[in-house]
Amino acid sequence: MTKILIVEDDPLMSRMYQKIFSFHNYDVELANDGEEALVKVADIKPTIILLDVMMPRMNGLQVLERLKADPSTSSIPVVMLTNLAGQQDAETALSKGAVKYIIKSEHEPKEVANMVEEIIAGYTRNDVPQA
Amino acid sequence: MTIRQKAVAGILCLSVLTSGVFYAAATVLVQNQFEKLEVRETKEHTSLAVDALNYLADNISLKLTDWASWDDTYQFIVDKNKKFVDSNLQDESVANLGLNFMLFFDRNDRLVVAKAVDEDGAGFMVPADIITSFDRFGIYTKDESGEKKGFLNIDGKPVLFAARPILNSVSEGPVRGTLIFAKYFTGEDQQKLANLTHLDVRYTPVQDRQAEFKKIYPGLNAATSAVKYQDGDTIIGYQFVNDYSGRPLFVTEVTDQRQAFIEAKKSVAIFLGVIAAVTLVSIIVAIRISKLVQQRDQTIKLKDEFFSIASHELRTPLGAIRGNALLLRDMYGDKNDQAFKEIVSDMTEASSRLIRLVNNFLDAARFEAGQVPISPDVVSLKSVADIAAGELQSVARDKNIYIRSEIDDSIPQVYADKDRVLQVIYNFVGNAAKFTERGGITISAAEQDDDTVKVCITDTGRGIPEDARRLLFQKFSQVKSSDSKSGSGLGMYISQKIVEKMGGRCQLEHSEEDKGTTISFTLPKATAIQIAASKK
Repeated sequence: MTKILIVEDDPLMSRMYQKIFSFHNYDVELANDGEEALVKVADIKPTIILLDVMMPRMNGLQVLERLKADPSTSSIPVVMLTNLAGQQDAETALSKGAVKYIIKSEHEPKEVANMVEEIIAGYTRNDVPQA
Repeated sequence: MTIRQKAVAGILCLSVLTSGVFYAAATVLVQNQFEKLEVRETKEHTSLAVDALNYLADNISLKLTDWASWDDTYQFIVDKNKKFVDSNLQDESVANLGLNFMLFFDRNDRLVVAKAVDEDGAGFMVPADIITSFDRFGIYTKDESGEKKGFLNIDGKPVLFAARPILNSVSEGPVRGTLIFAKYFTGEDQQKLANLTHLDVRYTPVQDRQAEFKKIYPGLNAATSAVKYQDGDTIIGYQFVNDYSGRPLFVTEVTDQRQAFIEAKKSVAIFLGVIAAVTLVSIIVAIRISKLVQQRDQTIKLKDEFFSIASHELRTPLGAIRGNALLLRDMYGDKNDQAFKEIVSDMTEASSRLIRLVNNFLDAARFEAGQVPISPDVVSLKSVADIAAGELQSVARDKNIYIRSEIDDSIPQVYADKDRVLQVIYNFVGNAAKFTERGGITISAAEQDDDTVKVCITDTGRGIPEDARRLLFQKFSQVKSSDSKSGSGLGMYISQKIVEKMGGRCQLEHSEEDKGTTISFTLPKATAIQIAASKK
């Protein structure tokens, strides 16, 4: 099963994404903030990470930087989740190695799941750390 | 620097500049014009003061006339009779005449009798050397018409004198001698002259200080008056007054207030005062205005914060409602439960409607504040129209009408904000749906000649009445529709603003009662450069 780590501080959102990805047969792990995310990444080595941009304490960009700086995690594809206000930061994230950014309010959960599928499909051509 | 500081600094600079320029100009003007006037006036005054001395001398001469052309005197000079002396040459007589000296000389310039009276009117012996002084000056009058008057320097004291030939009462000769009347030139005399001329005049004895005076008063001479500026407020005119032998005896000093200059300075001061007052007022006004600007900026900032908070806080839970409704559909919707499906569909639609409403309100507010976020890109109208039509199927089902897109790949790509285009299509179709009970709504597009693409929303509804047509794109205007759901009345207004921001135009193409309506909007065609850039 493909493992996905969803890093999102808003429980409404994280529960919603958890449901859709479970429904699509992913093994879903949640992290509430940046610190927890970095711990869990080392633990479960997910296939893909969904990373919220706006979080308290450590924001998404900082988490991304840490992920990309660590060779053991730098090859995991990261998709940024953002609202309209965080679009600027999300663009910056692309230049820091994020694969894509998704504006939460513009896409149904199903669309988000489809987009993630496409990304993973694109990556399975290369080597991706499996569970 | 804050706006306030800039404004204050600017005003101060302007004020200083204006003051400086005015002061310089006024000073130059005053310097040029008034100076000429002052100098001329003071010179005139000085001449007047000098001439006034002649007046004193003339006074003495006048008194002298009676005595010099008098038979008694004529006789006395020859016979030196005592009667004459007793009746006429008493101390009081001399004092009453306002004189200090009376000297009678005969035809051979020999003193016959001399009378001297001091300032108290008491007689005293005329000292011999005074007589020789008079003698030295050679002021004997030898011919009948002779009259001499002026000043003498006797032992350092200025003496005013007049001398006339002694003649008979009908002024006939031959001349039998010279009669000299003289008086010391006193402080009283000075005062008299000052009063007479209404001038601030001083007659300072030169004595042996000629060189000193010449240093203090440049150009000091006996022939003409000269002037100098004492200080800011006074100008002094001066001239030598020579004694009878042509040596400087007095310095006549006339002190004039520079009246015109003082008035001018007052005017300048008043004007500078006005400038200062205006500056002060301006600064106060500027500070007030800058406070208002600050307040306005603060208000805008608060509005911005409100918008972003409202955006986020409203949309997040709305998004969660809609998302979860869709999850219900996706995860549990394959059960053939019609009621379930409708419930989910209504939840989705309601939350979508609410999201759109919130977006419309926030958009309208942002338009008012001048903020309209548009991020244009190369957009395929086909895909946008397909998405819109797909989303609107629930609306179509409800009203039993069709909502479909006829846009295909032959329509060129446009350069616009995809989400905004969606928003506009939703608004137009939603609006059309309100007035359409049968038939349906078609979204179509066509390329125009002017590098734009025109998108048309055509419905088969009851049409827009004439009087409502102008109001179509106005804020909050709504035509009464059969629908129970109305809306905010903002949708069409915002749509027009969005289209205009993207460089297009909205238009009511045509509307016919009971036949239908077509509303259109245009968008700029994507250029080759834009298309190439978007592919990167």
